[in-house]
Amino acid sequence: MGKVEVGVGIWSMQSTKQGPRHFSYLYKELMEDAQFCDELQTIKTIWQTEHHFWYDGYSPALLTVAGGIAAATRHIKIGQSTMLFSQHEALRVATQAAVVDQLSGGRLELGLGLGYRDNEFDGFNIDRRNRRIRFEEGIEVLRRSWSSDPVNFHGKQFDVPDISVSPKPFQSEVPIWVAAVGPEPIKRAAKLGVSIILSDALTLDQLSEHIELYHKTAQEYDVDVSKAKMGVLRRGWVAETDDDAYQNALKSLRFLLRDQLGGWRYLKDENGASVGFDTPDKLDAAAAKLVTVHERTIGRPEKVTRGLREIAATGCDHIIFGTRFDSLPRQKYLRSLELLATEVIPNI
Amino acid sequence: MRFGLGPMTLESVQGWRCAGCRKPAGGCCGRKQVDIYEEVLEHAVTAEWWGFDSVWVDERHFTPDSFNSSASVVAAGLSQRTEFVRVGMMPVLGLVNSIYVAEEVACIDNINAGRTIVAGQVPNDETVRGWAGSGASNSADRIVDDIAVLRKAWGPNPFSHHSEFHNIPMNNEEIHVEARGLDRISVQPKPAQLDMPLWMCGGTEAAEVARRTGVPYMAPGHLTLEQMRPLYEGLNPTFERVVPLIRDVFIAPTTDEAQRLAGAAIRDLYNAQMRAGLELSSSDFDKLVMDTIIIGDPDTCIERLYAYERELGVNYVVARLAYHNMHPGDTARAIQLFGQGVVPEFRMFGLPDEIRKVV
Repeated sequence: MGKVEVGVGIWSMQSTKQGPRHFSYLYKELMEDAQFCDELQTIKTIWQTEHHFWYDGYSPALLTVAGGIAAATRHIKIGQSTMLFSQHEALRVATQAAVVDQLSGGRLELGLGLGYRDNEFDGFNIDRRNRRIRFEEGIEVLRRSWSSDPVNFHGKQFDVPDISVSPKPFQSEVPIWVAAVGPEPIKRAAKLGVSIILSDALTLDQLSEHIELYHKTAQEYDVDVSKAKMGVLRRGWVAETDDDAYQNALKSLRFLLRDQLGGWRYLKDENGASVGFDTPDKLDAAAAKLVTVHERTIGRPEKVTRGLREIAATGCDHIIFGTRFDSLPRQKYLRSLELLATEVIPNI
Repeated sequence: MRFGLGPMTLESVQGWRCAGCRKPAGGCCGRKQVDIYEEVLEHAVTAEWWGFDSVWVDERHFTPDSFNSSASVVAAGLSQRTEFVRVGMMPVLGLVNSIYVAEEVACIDNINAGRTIVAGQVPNDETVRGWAGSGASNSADRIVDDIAVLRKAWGPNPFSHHSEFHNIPMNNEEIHVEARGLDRISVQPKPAQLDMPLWMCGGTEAAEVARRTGVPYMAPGHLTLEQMRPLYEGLNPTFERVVPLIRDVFIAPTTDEAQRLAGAAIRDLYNAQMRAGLELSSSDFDKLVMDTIIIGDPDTCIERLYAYERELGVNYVVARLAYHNMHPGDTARAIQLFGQGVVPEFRMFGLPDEIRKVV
């Protein structure tokens, strides 16, 4: 088993129906959490997540907020799981990412996803059907923007003349992560040689298969992926006892999986079809199935350590420990992070 | 009168000597871009301590001197490091769909719990050329339209906006794959403030936009009094209205010392900006000092600022005291002296002469 890193997340900044909060309170907590994780040191990365125009204020401007996190912290890396890249102007992402990387002293881990909600594309006046080509062209715009040469990119979705983006990032190469949900996105990521973030809905066997597919594809296309990381999002919670952990986390996890993700038609049924509120039985079944996947990383430190070791054995070398649940007591949440940092991560 | 520090520009010109560097000759500290970002955050904290009302960050694109290209990102950092001062940010408008700017500002305003001021800028021709593929324009009509979108996005109600420059939301029912389309959107989260302070900063074009939209106008640091006079005219400042102005300032206990510490640094800065295309009223530095830049002891600074108050009705000065080719310690001392020696003169109505004269 190789060395596995653990990051935490995913900060979505939601003021929900169950847990309505002033947004300033949520952002203040984010900065405090970031400092808390920064001081714990064994947690490598803090991960943010993005959506737009959602009723609960789901965080829409990740690189901007990353500027705040950078100013609050000294060591911890700052990642996105993920920024919905196809809904953005790639040149704007390039310039903002460069500034975040400077402000943080080279701690940006730029995580990118396609985006899928129609209404978000509509709001930005972007045709959803172009999301894949926007994503692929956008990656090229990023790379050219951060090189020493003028951008000079003329694609179907992005057209950038011979200008030079300035400032450049602090890192000579900003790590790019791509959300890879399914075989085809995994193959595309492997061809690009970028790190991947695998879905939180995958079983251990599926994780192994997907990582194998990534490496097989990279080999087939002779792509150097020696720096690429295999990441996965896994929900989890640590407490002194299994019972405490279940009591704290399971109800919120069910809400997250059924009501939040169900509202976005994110979950799939046994045939791979999206399920939502219009098919409540199927939604219940899909959510229940996912609870069993994540249940292995909810519990006392020994149990969570075992669960994370199982994930590491699949070939994952970065686990995003998804521990941001709605409406949980803050002290218990901070205790969960502390146990993760001090009693779980060192023992994986 | 109120005072801000800035705007911070964060540029780094290769070959700049580091004025005031304490290292031995030939061993200049060679600060990197990354060091300048940290210094700016520290200067903001210093300004907050010494009684400034706000700290500001600027934005430009594609400059050869690595000028900050994201006011949003740095404003979030300033918001996190400070507790009480307002955070002024100067995004360049007219480049992309204004929803992006609206969302970023809303997040910043929640990070700083309602301390944001936005001063939009009109892009120059080179910036528009770079962003043309995203539909950029620097016409007054475009900037006015951007402001309309910002105001709707920050307002309490869901909205739509269909104009020459924006199509929010796209009417795309026929291609929806899974979800039902909506005819309005709601930018979330909303800013913490009920009414986001929105100003315009720049030359003639910015003043025209300010006139058309009814927002305060703020002239940049390089314009002379005579150049600014027509820009501020017709804005009809009311008694309550903020009338802001940016000035490049450096202050030290004596004018000679201020000149010694900052004269060369500011000269280098202006030379670099002129090479990057900035048009100044004069390339004669001494004349510029007379006309636009304020370098001097507290009395000199006070006298020059009173002139702007008298001639233009200015009541909010954003003073750039931080030049990134200077030693950060000299900058910190200048911020302190400005806070102690200049700000009280304008803020403390009825300040007894006996106290005013205490050094």
